[in-house]
This record gives sequence, C-alpha cells and structure tokens, in this order.
Amino acid sequence: MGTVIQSFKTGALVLLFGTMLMACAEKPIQGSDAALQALQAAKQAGATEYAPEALRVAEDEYQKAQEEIGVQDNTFMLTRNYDAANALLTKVAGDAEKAKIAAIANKQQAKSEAEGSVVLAKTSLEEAKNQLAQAPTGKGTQADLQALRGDLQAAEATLGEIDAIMAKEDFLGVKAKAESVQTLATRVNEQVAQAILKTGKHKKA
Amino acid sequence: MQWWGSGWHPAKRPAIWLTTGALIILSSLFVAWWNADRLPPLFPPQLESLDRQAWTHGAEAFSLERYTAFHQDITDLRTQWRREQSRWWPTADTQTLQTTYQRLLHEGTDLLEASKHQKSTRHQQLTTALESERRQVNRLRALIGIFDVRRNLRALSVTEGLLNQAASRFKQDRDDQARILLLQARESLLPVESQAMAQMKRYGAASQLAKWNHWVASTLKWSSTTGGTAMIVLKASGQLVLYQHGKPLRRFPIELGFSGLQEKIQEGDGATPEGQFRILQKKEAGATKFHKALLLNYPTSEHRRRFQEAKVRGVVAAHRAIGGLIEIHGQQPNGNNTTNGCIALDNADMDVVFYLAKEGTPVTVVGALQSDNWIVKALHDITEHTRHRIALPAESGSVRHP
Repeated sequence: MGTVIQSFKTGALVLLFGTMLMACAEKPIQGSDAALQALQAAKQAGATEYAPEALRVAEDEYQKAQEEIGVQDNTFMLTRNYDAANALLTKVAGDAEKAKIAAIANKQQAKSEAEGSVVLAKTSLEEAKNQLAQAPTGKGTQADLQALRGDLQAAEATLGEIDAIMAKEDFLGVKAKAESVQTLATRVNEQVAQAILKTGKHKKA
Repeated sequence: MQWWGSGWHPAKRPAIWLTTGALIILSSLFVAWWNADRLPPLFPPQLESLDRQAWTHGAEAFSLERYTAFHQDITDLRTQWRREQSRWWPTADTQTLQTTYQRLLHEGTDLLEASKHQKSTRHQQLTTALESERRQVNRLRALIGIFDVRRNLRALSVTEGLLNQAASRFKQDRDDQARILLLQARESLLPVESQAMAQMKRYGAASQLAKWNHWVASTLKWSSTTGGTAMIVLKASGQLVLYQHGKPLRRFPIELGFSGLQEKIQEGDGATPEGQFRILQKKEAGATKFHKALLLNYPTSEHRRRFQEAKVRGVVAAHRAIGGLIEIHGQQPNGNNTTNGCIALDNADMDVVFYLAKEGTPVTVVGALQSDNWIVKALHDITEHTRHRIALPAESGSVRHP
C-alpha cells in the first residue's frame, strides 16, 4: 500500500515538474535576430532613402515585438507566452523584406531615370555646343557669346561632377545636376537660335 | 408556532439561504463583469497610423522634441495596455488608459496638422526664395552687353545652374538639399551683384548727372547761338538726338559697345566714351565697312589725363592703351549693330545723320540727364534684393533623408 502511495507521489511530482517546464516558454531570440538582420538588409538595400515609409512600418513592428517580449518577460513564469511576439517578429521579417524589395526597385528606377537624364543632358550640351559654333559673330557679339560660352562651361563642369556622385549612388543628386545641365544647354540653344533668326546668318563653318 | 408547523423542515433553511445568497453574489459578479470596461484585444491602430503620418510629413524634422515625446507616449501606452490586458479584470485600470489614449489622439492630430503646415510653409518660403533669386539672375543677365560683367559671367552661369538644381530637388521633395543649393547660389551671386551695382551707381549720382547736364547745356547753347547742327548721344535711353538752332530735329535709336553704358577706361573694354567731342572725319561708303561713319576726336586731352591717372592708381595695367577710333557708324556687314564702343545706327538713319553732320560738328555723349532713368530703377531693384533677401527657413534637421 505504501509503495503505491509513494509511486503516486513521484508521478505527481514528475507531472508537476513537466508542466512547469512546458509552461516556461522560450524567449524568441532567434526570431529577434532574424528580424534585425532583415531590417539591416533593408537598410543596406537603401530603404532609408528609397523606401522610408515601408522601412518605418517594419521598424515599428520590431519595436512592438520588443515591447511584447518585455511584457512577457515580466509575466508569471507559468503564464508566460511569446506567441504574440513571435508573430510580430515574423511580420517584421516580412515587412523588412517588402521594404528591401521596394528600395531595390525604387533605387533601380532612380538610377535609370538618372542615367536617362545624363544622356539627355549630354545630348543637349553637344547640341548647344554645335549651335554655338554656328552663332553669328562679329563686332559687338563678344559679350553675348562669352555669356553663352560661360553657360556651357558651367554646364560642362556640372556634368563633370556627375560621375563622382553616381559612384556614391546618389541618383537623385545626379538627376538634379543632369536636369540643370539640360536647362542651361536648352537656354543656350534657344538664344543662339534667336540670334541666328535675328541676323538671318550662320557663321561659316 | 404555526409557522414552524407549515411543512418546512428547519434543517433545510440555511442551505436555501446560502444557495440564494450565492446566486445573488454570482449574478452581481456576472453583471459587474458584463458591464466592466474591457480593453480591445489589439491596440487600436489609429495612434500608430497618426504617428507614421506625422513622421512622413516631417514631424521628426520640424518638432523633434514634441514628436519624440508623442512617439514615446504611444510606446508607453501600448506597454501599459498589454499589462492591463493580462490583469484580472476587476483590478485593470482601463479608465486611465482610455483618457491617455484620447489625449494622444488629439496630440497626434495636432502634431500631424502642425507638421503639414510647417512643411508646406517651409516649401513655400524656399520656392519663393528660389523664384526671387531667379529674378535677380535675370536682372543681372539683362546687363550683359550693356555693362562689363565679363569677369563674373561664369559666376552667373554657375548660379543659374545651382538654382536649376535646387528646382529639381524641390520636385524630388528634397527641400533640405534644395535649401543648401539655394544658399550656394546666393553666395555665388554676391560678386556679380556688387560689381554690377558699382558700375550702375554713376547713373544716379547727383554730381555725375550735373556734369552730364552741363555738357549738354553748353552744346545746345552753342547750337542755339550759332544755329549749327549738334548731336547729343544719350546712352541710357539709347538715342542720338540731332539739334539745330538749339532745338531737337530728329531722334534715332542707337546701339553702343558691348559694355556701352560703362565708363570707358581702356582699349577693348567695350565701353562707349562719354564727353564733349567733335567730328574729325566723315567716311563715305567705301571708306568704311559700316556703311558710313563719322570719326570722333576720342580720346580728348581730358580722357588722356584721366587715363594716366588711372594707370598711376593701378586701375589700368601699365601696358594697356587708351583706345580710339570711336565712330558714329551704320550697320555691320553681318547686320549686328552692337559695337566695341562706337555708336551704331541703322543705315537709313545713318544717311540722315551723315548728311547733316560736318567735320567739327559737336557730339556730346552722356549717360543720362535725369535721375529717374531705367538704370537707376534697375539698380534699385538689384540693391533692394540684396538688402531684403527672403530669409531662408532654418535647416530642418531631417533624419529621414540623410
């Protein structure tokens, strides 16, 4: 009879210990690390510049996950549950991935637009140079020609700065400079065209 | 007692009372639980949405402290929310949370509106400043071919390039970068402005105007006294006026040197000299490539004296010459009328002037006769712009677009 009671006691203790062990939920360290890595990857892909809103969503979710972990850390051991935190961390990884994809796409688009602007700027500059070479010259046109040459020199200098900025992947900066060159070159083109129209003459080649 | 003998068994009475009491208590507890304020299972998304919207509109950049406090309050409220959720319902303090939630909702709405307003105001200020600088560039560009701005032409082009870049940055919603470019453009424009203002101020100077008026008066007096033909060249208004008997006979539009309105200092500066001259030689068609020409006696002894003084002062390099061959002539063969310092007329007008002019005819060249000439007005606009430049908003300190 005593042996049976002893067995029951042992069994109950094992059961209680097992339940306690099962109740001690595991802190989502791996999930947290994975979420952080995903956020880092998004930032490295340029999300801060090219997908700031999407990155912010992921960062907010990460913050909420950390808050949830904090709440569970302070909860009674037997009722501790990291399921919600795990779910949030999974969402962070997904949102960070979305931010990364958006950043890559936006960056690529910015790059394409920047490259397109540079091509246009170079073309406009060449046209303006050719046009200026055809500009009517003569006594008294020096100041105007000098001003137009100054414009083209400034445009060329700006174009010369573009490679360095492109290397830094500042595509929006490249686009701004290229657009500036194009505007200057277009104005020179227009002015020379007006001068030709006024005098009705091209300079002999 | 009759009551005791009514069929009720005395031993059963406490059990009934206890059951009834328990039922009442349980019902009350159920009603209390049913009516208790309960937190929703999920934190309401409105606050987080407001937080994100405010951030997108630059709340962090424009009101860092206020935004940080708001963001932290949301974090604290969310943590508190989770804690209260896990508490036993009768002990949960939902009222405080609800109050805080409502307060943050108002704060978030205010912050969002303030950020939108600040962003829009800032953008408007910067755009207005950009347009204002563009107008200044245009004012200065209008001086090319009139005043000598050759030394600063590059600066003018660079300024325009920077303003174009700033405009592109505005389109990209990068106001901070646009602001930096705008500052660089202003800096680049300063030497052009100061040089232009220095050259233009003569046209509003009382002593200079008095001198020019004196020259004109003495020329007209001569014409009036002798009945002879005299010519007055008004550089600012671009006119040559023919006088006979001291009365104006005809007015002709003229073109001057490429820095024509400037005071002539040396050869090649493109300025049309001012002074009281006489016609030295009449050049018929064939003797000049400019249709017909009237050679003036520039430089006079007065011009030579001032030139030597300028050399002594170091204003003119020792090897430079004073220049000469200043003529009133017709159009260039290519049709361009602008000169290196001469006074050019259309060929038909030149025929008239040439016919009436003789060797010795006085030609007085002045800048202007009145102080309300257009150069003074242009100078006023340029100067006012430099004095009252639109103040740029402070750097936003945005961390969104590093």
